[in-house]
Amino acid sequence: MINKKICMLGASGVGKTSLVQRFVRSIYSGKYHMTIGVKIDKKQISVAGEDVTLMLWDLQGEDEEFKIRPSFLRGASGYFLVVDSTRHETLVNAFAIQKMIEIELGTKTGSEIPFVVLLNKSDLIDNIQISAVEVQEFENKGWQIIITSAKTGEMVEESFIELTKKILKIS
Amino acid sequence: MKSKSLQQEKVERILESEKTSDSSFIGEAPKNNVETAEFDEFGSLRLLLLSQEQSKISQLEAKVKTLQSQLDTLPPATSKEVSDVLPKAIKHRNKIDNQLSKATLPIVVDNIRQSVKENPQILAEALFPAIGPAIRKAIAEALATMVQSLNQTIEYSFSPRSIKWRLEAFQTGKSFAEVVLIKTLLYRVEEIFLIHKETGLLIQHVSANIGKGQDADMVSAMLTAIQDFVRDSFSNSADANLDTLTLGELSVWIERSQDLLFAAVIRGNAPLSLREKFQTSLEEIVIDQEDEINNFQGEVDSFERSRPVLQECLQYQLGNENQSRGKVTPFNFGVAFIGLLLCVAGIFWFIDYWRWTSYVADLKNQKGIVVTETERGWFYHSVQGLRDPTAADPINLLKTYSLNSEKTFSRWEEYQSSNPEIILKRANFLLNPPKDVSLTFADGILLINGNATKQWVDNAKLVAAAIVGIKEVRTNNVSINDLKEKLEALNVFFVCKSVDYEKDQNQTISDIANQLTELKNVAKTQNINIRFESQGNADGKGSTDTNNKISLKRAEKLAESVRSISPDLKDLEIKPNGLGATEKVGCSASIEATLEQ
Repeated sequence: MINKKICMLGASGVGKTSLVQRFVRSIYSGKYHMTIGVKIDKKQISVAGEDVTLMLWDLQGEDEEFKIRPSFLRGASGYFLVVDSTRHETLVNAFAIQKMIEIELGTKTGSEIPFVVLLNKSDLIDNIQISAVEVQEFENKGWQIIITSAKTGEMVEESFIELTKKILKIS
Repeated sequence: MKSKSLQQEKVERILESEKTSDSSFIGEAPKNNVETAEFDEFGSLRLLLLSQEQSKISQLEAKVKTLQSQLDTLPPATSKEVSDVLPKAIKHRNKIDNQLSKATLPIVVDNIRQSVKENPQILAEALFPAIGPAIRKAIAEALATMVQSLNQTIEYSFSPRSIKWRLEAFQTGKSFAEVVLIKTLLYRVEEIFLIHKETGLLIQHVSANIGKGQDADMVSAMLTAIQDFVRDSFSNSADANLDTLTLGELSVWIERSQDLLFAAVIRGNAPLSLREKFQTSLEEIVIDQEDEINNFQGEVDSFERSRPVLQECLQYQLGNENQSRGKVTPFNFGVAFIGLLLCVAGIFWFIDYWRWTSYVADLKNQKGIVVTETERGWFYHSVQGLRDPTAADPINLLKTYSLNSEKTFSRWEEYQSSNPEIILKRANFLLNPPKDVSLTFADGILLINGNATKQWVDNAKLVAAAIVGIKEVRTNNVSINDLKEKLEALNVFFVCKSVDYEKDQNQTISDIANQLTELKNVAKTQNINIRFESQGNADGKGSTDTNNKISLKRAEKLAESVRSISPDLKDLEIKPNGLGATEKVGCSASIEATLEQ
């Protein structure tokens, strides 16, 4: 049995907790509950015949007043950068977080920590503010982008499996 | 331009051919005669372009051939050579991954199965040294647990304390067992989490199985998060650590090494020495599993062997009820002191009560005493009633019951008891009977027994008539005069003209001897001098002289006969006296007594 720590990162209200709830408990609640500090969940999955227990650290979203505590990221094997597709500024925030992690952790471990960018709330098609060009730009940088919806469950489980594969270096 | 393109085409063809068949290009000449000339040109070109590579290839081919021939000449690897490297190879491979174990597992399983199938005894013998003690230990532990459980069940089932706990269990909705555990535990290490410090991942977890705990993985992650949160929020130092968390009766003690966190969930108040135990256990694990810890990538299975070390830390201590309750406070001390005083006073009170009631009961049973009123106080007692002067002394009776006469007020009015015993006592007191005289009293009649002088008896009768309760005085006294008369009435008869006894006189002689003895004894007790005279008689048919002689002889013979019967009479002086002819009694003899008072 392998245990891995995964962090959910992103701006406040992008749907980190909802993604975790959808993945772990297959439920979705439209009500918004702000996460204070950190919420921890656990899910056991099997990837390429390997049983992996994912410890999901759902961190409080970043906003103007609150910045992510780097100490919570310590020891993470991978992370999600969650972006709200309907709010362009959350994409900018995701960039900032990625940069911060690179500085805080990447330099310490000496290797890049695997991550996946989730463009969440894909069900709100009419309000999407992130263009295909921008997505292409990410992909050009080598970032993996997955369009998800915690509400419909679209690509949620696949995203976690994808990140786990990256962590386990399974292509 | 055209030739150039043609040449280029040719080169390309060559290269294409080279791709499809290396051997044909490098080692052998082409077999097609039609194109021989063309190939010569190609050969020149080939030499021109690839001469260096060709020579290198040739060298390598030669080297391979040499090596191949050397290899062929070598003998195959011997089992000895393999055995030299095999252990090292296995060890090396095991360090890399567990593929070797996986690969050999089916073989090992098959081997064991086959071995058991062929001869189960081998495996049984091999396992016996390990299984034997393990079974014994398990049985001993089970028995000890059962005995402890039984003791506790008995203790907790029948004591007043258990009733209180049952009530508490009922009120709080907890199970009785839970309440008992909480009340009797001094402390108990309920859970231990071994956590990888950096990732917050749970490496190992042991629990004392009390209740249903939270998910250990999540708890350990949260613990790590809390630690980080506290450090980030309240301390500037990265080295500052959270050592203890406390929530009501529960506390979490955290020990740490460079890479691990050791978190113990404790209920109750554990001694600080337990921290040393935790630290030692943690160090033991760190030393034992250094490689696994250093290379930790989330694999937790390899930490299974640390489980026993952690389980040893699941310690507990049952509280001593007396200790837990026995905090000496001034209040407790005061209560205890007053309690002790009350206890002592109670004991004294009870002893005094017992003595006094026993004394009063005894008084009431005494003849000649009538208890009319008693009172018992803390410091003084009083008793009053009627008392016959001859009854037992109540003051002396106090001593029998160890009661203090100075602290007892007694008031007794004199009275004359009509109790027969008291009347007799009173008679004895007033009459003062001589040594050989005893008095009895029944139905109002006082009976005087024994030998008393007539004077005393007369006086006694006079006094007794005045004693209350005595209606009549009777005497059972033996009169010396009566005895004298009885003695003197006995006559022994002789054959006339002879001193020989008539037939059947022996009985009379014996009676005379007995009567004489009694009279002598009575006279002695009554201090009366007495003289005896044996008197012989004749019938008067002969001469006076003859009659005198024969009557004297008869008197002498009777005296002699009486003396010879009893040793007491042997030396008794009996004076013989021949009375001569007496018509009244004829040929006989008798003994007369003379009293000298």
